[in-house]
Amino acid sequence: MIVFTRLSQLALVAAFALLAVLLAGCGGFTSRGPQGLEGSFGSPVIGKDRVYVSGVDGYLYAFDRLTGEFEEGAGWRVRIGSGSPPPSLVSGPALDSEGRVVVVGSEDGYVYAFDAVTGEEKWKLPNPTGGKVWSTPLVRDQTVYFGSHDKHVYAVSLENGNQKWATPTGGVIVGRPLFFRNQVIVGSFDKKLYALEATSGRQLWTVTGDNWFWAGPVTDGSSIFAPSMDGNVYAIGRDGNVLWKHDMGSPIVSRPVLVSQGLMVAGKDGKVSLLDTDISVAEGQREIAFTNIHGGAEATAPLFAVGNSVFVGSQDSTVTRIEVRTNQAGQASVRTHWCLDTRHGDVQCETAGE
Amino acid sequence: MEALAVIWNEAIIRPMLNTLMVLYVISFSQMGIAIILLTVLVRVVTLPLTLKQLRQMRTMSNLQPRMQELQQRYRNDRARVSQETMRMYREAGVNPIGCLGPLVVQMPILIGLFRVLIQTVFSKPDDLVGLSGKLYSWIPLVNIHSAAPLNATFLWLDLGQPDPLTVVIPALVFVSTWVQQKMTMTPTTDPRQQSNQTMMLWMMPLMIAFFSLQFPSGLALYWIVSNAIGIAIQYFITGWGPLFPLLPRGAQAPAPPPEPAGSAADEGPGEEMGDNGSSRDDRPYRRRSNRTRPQGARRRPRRGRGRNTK
Repeated sequence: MIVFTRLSQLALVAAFALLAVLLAGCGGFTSRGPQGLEGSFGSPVIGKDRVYVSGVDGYLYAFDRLTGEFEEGAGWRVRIGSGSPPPSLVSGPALDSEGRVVVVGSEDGYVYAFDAVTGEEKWKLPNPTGGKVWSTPLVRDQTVYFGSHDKHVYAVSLENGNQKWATPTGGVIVGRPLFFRNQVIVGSFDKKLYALEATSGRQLWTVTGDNWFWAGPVTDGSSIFAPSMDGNVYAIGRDGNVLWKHDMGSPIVSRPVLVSQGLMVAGKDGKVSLLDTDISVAEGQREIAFTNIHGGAEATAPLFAVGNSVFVGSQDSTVTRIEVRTNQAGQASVRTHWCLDTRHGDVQCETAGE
Repeated sequence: MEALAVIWNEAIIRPMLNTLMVLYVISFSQMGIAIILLTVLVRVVTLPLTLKQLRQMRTMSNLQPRMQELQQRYRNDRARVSQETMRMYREAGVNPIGCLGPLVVQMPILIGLFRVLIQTVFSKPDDLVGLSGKLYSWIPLVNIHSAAPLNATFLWLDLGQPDPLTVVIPALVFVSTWVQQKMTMTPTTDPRQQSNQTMMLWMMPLMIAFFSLQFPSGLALYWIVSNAIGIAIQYFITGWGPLFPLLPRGAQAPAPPPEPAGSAADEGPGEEMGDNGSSRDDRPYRRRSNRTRPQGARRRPRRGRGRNTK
């Protein structure tokens, strides 16, 4: 009995110690200091003289475009919201067309607007939304459009933050809205892509996928290209009709980007494909070329294009530059030009594309 | 290793995650209620194990007199004591480490719930991205995709974070674990066992309360509710047990003194039990005298006892 009792007790203690170790080893504990960008979820926005970045540390930064400095008048840094530590900024910043005002959403439910030059706060929403604002705002025609965790799409005045309209959807909205022919296009976690009338917020049409619409859609002016977590890219006409869809084989978290040769899309599995956007292309012929991110890291950051170079941020803290080229025969190809490990600042790879 | 990860994900994480999501939707987006419902569900599923454990505990409690007899008889031969103990347990159909069954079941549930809480409640973009692939698309009537990410607020708690008040949840964890631990203690007169049990009685609740300072309060909520249900089940099966004299109803009697050799052997595992889990022969009423006496009959005071004898 003594033996068994001790056995049971030892087993109990060992089991709980093991549980503690397992739980502690499972991660999920993070600490954030008061200093340092500590990463960024949203895409940077490039202004006339400055680059605006929202930090995981809860600050909005305006770096000098040439020197990268933000202190001593070269740029600025403002803390968003209250609380210690301040809430993380998942939303990326957005600039108005004249580059005077920069707006950003916060996890405290507010959207803030700052003077793009001085960093002075111009306004914040009179009342917070009912949830976190992860959605990067869209600024268009003196109106700021954004989605919230409270499942609503909002339109507020760029002048003072007063609400113009709010339209409910069936799920959380985290992607950046798209302005398309006087419509605001947003994806929701209810597996639907919504088209709302820009002036009133009235729902015009929806397209339903098989999973969340996480990343925001993009447009070439005639069609909308909406990536879904179901792995498909949906090409949608102006009336909400699906023109074609292409299965990437893994969920799509990154916002795609258009280049002159087609649409660049990154799957979460690290595969980056160049798709032909022409509606007449036969199914199976949609993918023109593809490459894989070095090391198979997950691609989750929005894609960014400068000319024919596409930049992909991945979960291993690496930025990959992919070149899209067209040969004399008119055939497009992609190849990895380099990848930069941002933790160490060194170039990690230089591989040829397929 | 990869196969194990797949099994872990498919057998534990995904079912639990989807169940929690469904419960969240049907509890009007109240994460705390969803966790409580999940706890009830887990306890219902593991009820057969719990009942088996309690019955074994009761049987072991009834075997105490025989244990003491064995220990006295073979006090100089510990190997023999172990051997005889094992034989006695085998005959009584008791597995002495069988009481770990519910605990073993709780382990993967706790670890799984921790992972699930991270993915549903912590709601960092990285965690949330991984969530979409784990949701079942075939669940009818309830659109769990629309529910994510879950609202983690419950009372004063953010269920994805430790208790901001620091003391309340750890104190509840401590008290509930202590009470349940106390109720499951097997009565014994062996000082070594008593010391072991006392150590466990305090160490376990302290350890788990300490953990709850660090871990998401959603996990602590699960633990507290699970303990409360465990205490309730145990109360209905065995009464308050060793909690007596703190709570007298259904109090379990102290362990009887060693009986003459052979008398304890008459007790069998299938004998009729009182509602407090002790056998009829263990009742204080019987221990005072071997004679049977009708209920309500009063014992005549002995002459000279309690009197002024000056």
